[in-house]
Amino acid sequence: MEQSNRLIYAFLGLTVLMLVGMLLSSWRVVLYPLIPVIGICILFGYTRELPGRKWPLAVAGSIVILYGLLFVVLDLMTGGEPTGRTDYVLGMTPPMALYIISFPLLVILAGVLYGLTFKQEDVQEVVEEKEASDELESEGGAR
Amino acid sequence: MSTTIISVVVVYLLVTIFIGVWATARTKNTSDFFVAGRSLGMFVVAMAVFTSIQSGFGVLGGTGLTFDAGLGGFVAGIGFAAPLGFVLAWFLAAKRMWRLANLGEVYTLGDVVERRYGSRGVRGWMGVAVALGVIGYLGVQVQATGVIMAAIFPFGFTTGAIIGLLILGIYAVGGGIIAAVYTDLFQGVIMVGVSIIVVFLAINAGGGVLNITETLQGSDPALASPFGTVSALTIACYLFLFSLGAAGQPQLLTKFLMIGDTKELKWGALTSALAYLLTMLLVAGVGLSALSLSIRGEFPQLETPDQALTTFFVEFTPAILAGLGLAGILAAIMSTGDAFLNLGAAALIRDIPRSLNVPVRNELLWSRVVVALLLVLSLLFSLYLDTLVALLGVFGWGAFAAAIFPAVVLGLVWPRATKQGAIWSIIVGIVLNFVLEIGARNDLVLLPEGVVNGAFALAVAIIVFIGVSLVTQPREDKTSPEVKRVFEG
Repeated sequence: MEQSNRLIYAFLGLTVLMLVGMLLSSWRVVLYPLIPVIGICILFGYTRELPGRKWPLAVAGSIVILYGLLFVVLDLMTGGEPTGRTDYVLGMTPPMALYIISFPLLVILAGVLYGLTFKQEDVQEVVEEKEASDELESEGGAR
Repeated sequence: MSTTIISVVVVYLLVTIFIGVWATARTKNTSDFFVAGRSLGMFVVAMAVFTSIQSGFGVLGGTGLTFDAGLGGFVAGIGFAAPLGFVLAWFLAAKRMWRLANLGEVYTLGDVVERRYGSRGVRGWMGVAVALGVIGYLGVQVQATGVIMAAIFPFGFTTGAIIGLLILGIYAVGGGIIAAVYTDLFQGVIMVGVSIIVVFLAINAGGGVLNITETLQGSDPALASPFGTVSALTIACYLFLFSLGAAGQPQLLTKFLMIGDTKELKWGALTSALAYLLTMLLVAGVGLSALSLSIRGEFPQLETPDQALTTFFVEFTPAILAGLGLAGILAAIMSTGDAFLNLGAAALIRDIPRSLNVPVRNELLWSRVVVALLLVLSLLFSLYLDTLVALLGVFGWGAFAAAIFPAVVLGLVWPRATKQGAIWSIIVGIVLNFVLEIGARNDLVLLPEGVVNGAFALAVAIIVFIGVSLVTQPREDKTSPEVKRVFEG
């Protein structure tokens, strides 16, 4: 409960910041808070594991750091001109190549991490709970 | 249009009818009609999630927007954020929705919020939000069906739309969600297969990646940049709205209620995201290649950018592939249409009546009747009230995100959320989207240039949801122990 409160307050603070960014027309104040929001969403997927375990933070942190790096590098590359330098990577301008390759790869990485850290037994408990609760109900009905 | 193209599309339509007839025989009760009897596997659900989100707007409109404004027109913001949103939806909601579905007779988002908040009021408002969005989405899909059918077959828009809707009706009325998800699977495989092949043809037609880049750079350097001619502020708003907002789309969330076994959740996020990203190859490849060909004067003149994809299929690919491509576009439209028909029936037959304490007796029969009525109504709306359809169509994604993401998704991860927070966030989400969209259509721009209305409404709805929940904390927590277990994920 305490973890989800902390996460939701951080989520609220970052959303307020994004709203301010929209009103100030500052794309950086919208985009950069979004990256930790993605991390918070991932952490919400691990609320059962969070107490005492560090790997959920590592999973969420790795995605946040990699997305952060992507946008910081992109920001630096396109600071002077939209297409960056005049050389090419795989036939594309460097910022285009960076974005079009990295963004989807990070989406795939997040999907792979979800699969690798998925614990079936967590949810399997529900089946057992439901069966136990159904049994209790039927016993009650029989009486 | 060549006989080969028409034949391929006819075969596609016949297969969808066949699936519909098969699914109708398997649909015996309300659970089958709305959640496929909770029997679906990972691949079917993942493909159904991907195809129900990847609509005619995503394929036809996305290619048109890329043709118009470069990668930033669609792919860099919407196209990349949506699959990220699939993954976030799995992290946030997959296990929790599945757990909730185990508590018995949870078939719709209305069922979910009534269980979560113990409030029929939240169910009612959720039903209203879904019903409004469904009418808009369906109207847009009807219009898109008419345009594509008229482009393929030798008849006009109205006849094309009616025939398309009749086919949709054959499988959606009888087979409910079972027909929808299995046609989605078939349609998704076509979309992904065509995308993988056509992207190479598109790059080849444009003279290679370097040639395409140099042509775009020569015309306007911004066209060779990741955000195209679209402002970074708009892209940032799209990334916010379409990543978090994806988890607020009802056609995605309700799929978690249909999973048969928990292990099926494991690789669903990756599968659906990957399938969507592969179709983005088509949108980016054809959009940018067609734009470079157009700059060089080697692409036919278009009346609207939305014609870029169909023109590319007909002019630059072999007839069989063009037929499959056009069938793929129809697939994108119909798969979104069937998902919304089912959601509309759920809202009108189950959620709204139950919120008023007047449950419908034979829900299966009346759901089928309502699906048929929705088809007729959406056709009439798109023929005679196209302004309303356009407005509700634009309203769709942003309103669902603002009305559903806080109340359902944040409500499932945060135990202190209250029914008042849920109701106010739904109302604010709907009203704000309507006001901003109607204002924009009447030259009354209320937000700074570049800010996406839906993104602003989503941010406000999240703040309202958390804020109102904090000030309406009940003295005594009446949440049942079973629901408390759902919060743990």
